[in-house]
Amino acid sequence: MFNRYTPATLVREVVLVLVTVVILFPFYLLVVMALKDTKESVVSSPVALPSSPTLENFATVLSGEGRNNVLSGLMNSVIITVGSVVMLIVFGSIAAYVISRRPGRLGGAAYVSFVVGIILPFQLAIIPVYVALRVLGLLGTHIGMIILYTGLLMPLTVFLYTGFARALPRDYEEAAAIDGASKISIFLRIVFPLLSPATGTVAILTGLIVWNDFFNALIFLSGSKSTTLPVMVYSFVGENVTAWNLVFTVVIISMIPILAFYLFAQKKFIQGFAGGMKG
Amino acid sequence: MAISSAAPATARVKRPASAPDRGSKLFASWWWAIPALVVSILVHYVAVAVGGTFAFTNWKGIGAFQFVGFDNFAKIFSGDLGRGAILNTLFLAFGFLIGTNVFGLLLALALNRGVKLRYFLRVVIFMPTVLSPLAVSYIWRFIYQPQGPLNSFLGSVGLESWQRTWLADPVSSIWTILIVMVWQSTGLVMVIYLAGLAGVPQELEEAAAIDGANVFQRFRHVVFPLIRPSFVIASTLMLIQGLRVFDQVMALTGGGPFNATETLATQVYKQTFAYGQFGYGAALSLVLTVLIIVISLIQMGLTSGRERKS
Amino acid sequence: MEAGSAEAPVAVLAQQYSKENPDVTFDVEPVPNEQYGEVLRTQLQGGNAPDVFYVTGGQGNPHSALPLAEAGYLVDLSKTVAKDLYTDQSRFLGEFDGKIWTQPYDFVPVTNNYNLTVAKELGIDLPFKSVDDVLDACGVAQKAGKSLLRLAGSTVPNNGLTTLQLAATRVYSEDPDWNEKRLKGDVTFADTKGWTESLELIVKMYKEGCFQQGAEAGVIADNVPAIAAGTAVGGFAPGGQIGDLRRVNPDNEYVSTAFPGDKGEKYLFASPSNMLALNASSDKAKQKAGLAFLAWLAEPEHADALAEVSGNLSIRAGAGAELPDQYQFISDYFSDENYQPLGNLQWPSPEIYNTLGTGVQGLLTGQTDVESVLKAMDAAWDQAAG
Repeated sequence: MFNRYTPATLVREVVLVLVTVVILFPFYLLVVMALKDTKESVVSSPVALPSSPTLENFATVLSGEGRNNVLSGLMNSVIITVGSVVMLIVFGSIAAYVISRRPGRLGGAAYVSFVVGIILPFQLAIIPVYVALRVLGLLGTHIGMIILYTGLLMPLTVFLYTGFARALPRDYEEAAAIDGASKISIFLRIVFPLLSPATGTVAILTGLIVWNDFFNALIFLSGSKSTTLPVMVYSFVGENVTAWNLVFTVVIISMIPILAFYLFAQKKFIQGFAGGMKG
Repeated sequence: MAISSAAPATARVKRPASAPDRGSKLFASWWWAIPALVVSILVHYVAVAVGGTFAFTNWKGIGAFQFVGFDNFAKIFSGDLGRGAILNTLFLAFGFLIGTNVFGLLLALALNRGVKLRYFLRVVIFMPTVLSPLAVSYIWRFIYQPQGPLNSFLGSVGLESWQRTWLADPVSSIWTILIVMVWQSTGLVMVIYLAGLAGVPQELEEAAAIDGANVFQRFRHVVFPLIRPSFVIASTLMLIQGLRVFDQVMALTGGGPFNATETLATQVYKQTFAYGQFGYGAALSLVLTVLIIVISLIQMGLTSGRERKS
Repeated sequence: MEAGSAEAPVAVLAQQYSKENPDVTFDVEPVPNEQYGEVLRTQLQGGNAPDVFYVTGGQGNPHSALPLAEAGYLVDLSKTVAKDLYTDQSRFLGEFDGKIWTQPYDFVPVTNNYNLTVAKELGIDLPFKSVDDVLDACGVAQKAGKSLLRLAGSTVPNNGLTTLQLAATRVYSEDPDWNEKRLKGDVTFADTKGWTESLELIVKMYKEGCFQQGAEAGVIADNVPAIAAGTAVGGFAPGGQIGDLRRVNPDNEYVSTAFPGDKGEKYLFASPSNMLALNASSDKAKQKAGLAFLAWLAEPEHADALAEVSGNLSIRAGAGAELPDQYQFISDYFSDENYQPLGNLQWPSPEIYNTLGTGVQGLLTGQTDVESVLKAMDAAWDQAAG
């Protein structure tokens, strides 16, 4: 009965489209600015359409050299983000599973230590972590950044996973145990797939944080060849003059991969969640 | 079939509240959790503890220092700026929590089914989430400019009296920040609720509708109890993110006009790094931490309390 | 070595040096301005800082020279050419414990810059001889739908620089040693008439429409585009801004002037505040290479070349030398020695300048008053000094 397309649904559809147009307005500014040449971007109103739209900015930005090489920035961002998210999923899901299946004081303490970790002020840890990474020879490397982000976001990851893991039924695990499956294969074959909606949430949330992180990337990657996109954007922000057309071009480029990932993943995660709930 | 599959789902959600069963210990070994524990303890606890020690010193961020006991904490609670920053932080955090959850839930309910363009609209509404907070703030600065699109829009619909210098208006500037924050994160909250709604069997709602329940009753008694996990996650995430608000404030107003939008996080940053008062900034960040812990505990108490009642 | 932006003047000269000395290569590390101090400090403490890096004179900023020297991170330059680049008045910028720690590379006049082309179109006569001239011109510009001046009222540095330029002729021309007296506690901001007058003048100019609409929300990044496009005629900035204006709109002509005193007094700030320092923890060979580069940079020919890129004055030109065209209206300030290093460089903590900058915004929005701002600056000073 809810699947019929009634006049009320049409009204809802129209209202939603209008709301979406309002939500999209800032993107209009983003795109319009990226299509203007440098002089026009300075002189014209930000709302005005470009007089002669040009893709030159994309060419300029993509052909940058050395530290301004957006393609290598894109690669660095992808490597660091994917690496961190994979580590978080692997170690976070299993830790949350342990916590959910071994309640009691120890499990409770471990859980609380993760939750409090979400809140601790990382600003205070910057200098100690910087020194530690340098001593280990990992400063300015992809691996160093992946370790940093894994540690930084592990508490959030475990928090997200634990909520889901606690709600998972144990019937399948019990059945598999009776059939003689090992602990690790129970986790890999049965539990982890059931956790897929949480994996989706973790991947999107932590992926976004790492992908867009400016502050840590700046401090920990300054002077290295591993600069990520959010820091690279700043090579177009000057003391007195900012090339907004180029800045926004880089912003658009850095949006594309993560939006594509979301597009690819959204149905899966939502379905996955439904599957998880229905058992 | 429909109803029978939904009933155990609710039962399962409640299960952690009941006593743990012993057999479950068999499924997991403790050492599996060690890598995650070690890395987060090293990065968070050890390193923060080292940095946090400076809260009791007069360190300027470089060079020598002395221990000064609780002087820095006394200074925070005696100053107007500290108190203003706490109030602004609370305003933004709760405004953000409420705004994103209300709009995110409404959009999720509206886009859950029926609407033909729903897959397309879901992607579009999610788009702001993928932008970096700094990029978002730069775009919105154009919108809020004195001669910018917002003021021209107000002028064109005859609301000239509403026009103002948005980012430097002592009253409206904090709202401009809140709007940007909500704009950016509503899509994420919508997705969290959509995921929850996907687990609500349509047949259950239909049954309630046949029994004569109206839209609000159906939401209150059928849908909401089933999407409670989404609510807990969305509200916790938004609250924590709101209490730490930093990028948007720095890029939009820099804490101005005349400190009107200063938050704890911007103050921590300015004191520790820009003004070279690392000790004072460290003390401020410990205050921020305690504040977040207390509020989170209250929030967890409230959500779990309501769960028991239902 | 590091610099503020990709085409930083020092980077341009470093490239030339590499060409002449192929065994020396530079790896320029650009860092966003606002975070420069923090990045530099973290790198120094982590033992990972560049061999040569940018610092600013005095102790007012996170990347100021003197606290870094005090903490032992810099190489002593007392026996190098660096010491000859200071005057008696400016030596405090790089001196700690009786030694010189930094080498200035250009000379920065802090000026009131104008788009001369647009000023001529509007019939505005430059330079201004009195405040009344300025206020008249504000009206002229306003009638033409422009503003005479551009103010980034939401940013501390632009508010601060604007106030300091007004204070140059209201406080420092009369009393060049005002900073030293303040350090000794003989005077305060609140009881110095010139400071009150300077802040009151900003409010007056704001009310009379001298600044662009919504100046209290202005940001620095918009100033150059606005002046280059001619929607504003001028603004307050370091002299090097002229270079940026020319790059954005080469079709117009630009000049640097000094803001006039109430009775036509002439005084301005100019300081060798852009500096390079050497990392004390670099290995000896790199320190030696760094010293050689600094010596090369100080040669008049290269100093002049650098000034041409930065738009500031050559560190070797100093007083009395022939100045580039855009400084025609202020050359007599130098020949008559009516200048001193920028006022706040001697202030004991960054918080005082910050209190001034946020205070100005509060004055424009009506959230505070002149007396409160000056008292808050005094309080910040006493706390830093005491």
